[in-house]
Amino acid sequence: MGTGERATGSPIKIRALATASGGIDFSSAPRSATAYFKCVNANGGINGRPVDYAYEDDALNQQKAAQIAAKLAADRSIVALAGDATFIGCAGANPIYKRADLYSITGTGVAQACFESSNIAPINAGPRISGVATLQYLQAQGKTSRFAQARHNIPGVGDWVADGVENYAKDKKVRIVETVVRDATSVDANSGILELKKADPSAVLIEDVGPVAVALLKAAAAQGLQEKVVWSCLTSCYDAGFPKQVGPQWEGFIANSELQLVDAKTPDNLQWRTILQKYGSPRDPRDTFGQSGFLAAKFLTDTLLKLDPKDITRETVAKAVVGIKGFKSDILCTPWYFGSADRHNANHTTRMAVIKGGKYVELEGCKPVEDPGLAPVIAREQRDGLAG
Amino acid sequence: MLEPFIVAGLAVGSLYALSGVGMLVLYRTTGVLNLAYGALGAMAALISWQLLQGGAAEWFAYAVGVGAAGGASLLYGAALGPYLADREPVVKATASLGLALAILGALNWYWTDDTRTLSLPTGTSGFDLGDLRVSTTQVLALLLAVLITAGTALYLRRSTTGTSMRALADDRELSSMLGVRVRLIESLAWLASGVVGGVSGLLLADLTQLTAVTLTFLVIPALAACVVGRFASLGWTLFGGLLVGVLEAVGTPYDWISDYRSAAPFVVAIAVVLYLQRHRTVTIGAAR
Repeated sequence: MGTGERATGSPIKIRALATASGGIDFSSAPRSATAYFKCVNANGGINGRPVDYAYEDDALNQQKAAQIAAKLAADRSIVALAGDATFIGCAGANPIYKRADLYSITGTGVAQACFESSNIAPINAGPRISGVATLQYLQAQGKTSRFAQARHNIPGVGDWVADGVENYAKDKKVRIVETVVRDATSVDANSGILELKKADPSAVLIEDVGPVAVALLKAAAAQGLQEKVVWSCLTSCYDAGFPKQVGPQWEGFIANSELQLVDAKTPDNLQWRTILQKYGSPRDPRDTFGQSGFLAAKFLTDTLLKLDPKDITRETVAKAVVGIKGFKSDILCTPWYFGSADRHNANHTTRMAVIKGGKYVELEGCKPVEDPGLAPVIAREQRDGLAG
Repeated sequence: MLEPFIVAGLAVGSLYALSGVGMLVLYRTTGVLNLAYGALGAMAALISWQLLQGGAAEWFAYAVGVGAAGGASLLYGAALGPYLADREPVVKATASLGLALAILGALNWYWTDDTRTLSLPTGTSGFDLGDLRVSTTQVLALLLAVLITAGTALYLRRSTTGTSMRALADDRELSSMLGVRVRLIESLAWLASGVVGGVSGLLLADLTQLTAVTLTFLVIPALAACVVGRFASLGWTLFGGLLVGVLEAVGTPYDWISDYRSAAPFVVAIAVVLYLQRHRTVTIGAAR
């Protein structure tokens, strides 16, 4: 790599599983990964061999996700997966990958199963860590005298995130005055806000996607809750377009950021943006999940570059991927690792951002998240020297 | 204690009702149950949003959005209406499902599912009702639902076009022999229905979320409202829409039911169907 010449050898096949349709377009990560691999191919490839990269859309359908996973696993010419971002596929895919010795450096994990799998390791921290991190910040600022959360009821996501937040609250003696559960198919934001209003909270954490958060904030403003309450959200609200959409009255709104701020001028972050500019499309999102796809592709590329180019097979790549540790990037707070375990959550140190002057700016730099549920992960990091 | 939820439910329910009335007028005139109704609303909202982002004047953005929904509906009705006229109701409905999926696909492709919000000028003004703040959009939704229902009922009864629409609903061929300009009247129904769909989409985007999928599935509560109106009565459709909206909202404070609130349209529709069938004897015969 770095030759400036197009790679012409026999291609190395890498794939990803992502949810790109079915109501959610979650393809930021594989889109950024696509741009990264295009750049690799234009610059000498993996020691002369180009990467043949593509992602398959599970269309938010669990059966389809399992079928795609089986197809990817059966194609032995696919050496590894990188930049995956499936909303519903991890639980079904992992046993298939495990049997086929196929490993995924996942870009974005959302559901619990993406973080509790042997062959899948996400770059991002996940919504549970993101939620705990936000509560941790609010508590440190003394805003949690009457803490409330608003979550959705999607199993394996909404309950899992709230469980993390509740465990932390119990551990740190934070009083949760209300948990509003939104039916994932319901359109009514007003009723949830009325529930919150009754509870008279000091701070609210929204554990939901950006469009729902906007609807909740609008209803909250209408009910006069904007000034009285500190409003916050998971990384799902950390999106460059969010401040403009909620409007100037939401200055001070807090969101967690699982990775570096998207407009940071650090070397890796600038490289991500430059590669998207040159090899991506203007429609590729410049968001946190794009960053994670970029890192997934980069980490796999760095791993492949260390292998004998004539001996890049699923077996050799699997061994190399499992052995990843101490991979650093200014997009992350701490080094990233894969390792051999049934649970992967290497990223558990996050940042906080706040809306100021019509855009998100950093509110707090890297801070380890004190989720009591991370104890086994941290113990393993210390035991195996993974934290670097 | 439930009053705030009733008010919130009435506002959203009004839009279910409004959509139900729009769907019903089209159904009664052309026999088409337009399942693309929500998708047309989503299209209106997203086009308006796009124009507003580009700095267009508000009235212009909303007019173009609603006009686009009306235009798309008219185009579909004019192009496919004659081919569908003699087909069974289920074929007509399925054809409109195709339109819904095509619109939804196009909207998702162009606008993706990024965070967006559409705030009508009426969203920031309002009044206090006890502890509850009621926005002008919420009041407008209810007023519009009642006015459009009453206006449509009056129009169908009193005007020549309305009479023609009712005649078409009863017998298409006979009406045509009696000199009713079938194509024109049907096109008018498609246009009016699309426009009402566009207005409902705009108001719903303000009161709920601006995402293509959410607004497209607005068609489900609207259908439930039509079931309450037995696909005939405008007044009962209005009531049905409001009922679904209120039921959805009042379930919020009760943990045991709040997870199932979005089942309200189905519960209402099933209850009405069962009630209407109460005196019917069902005979189960063996297939020979």
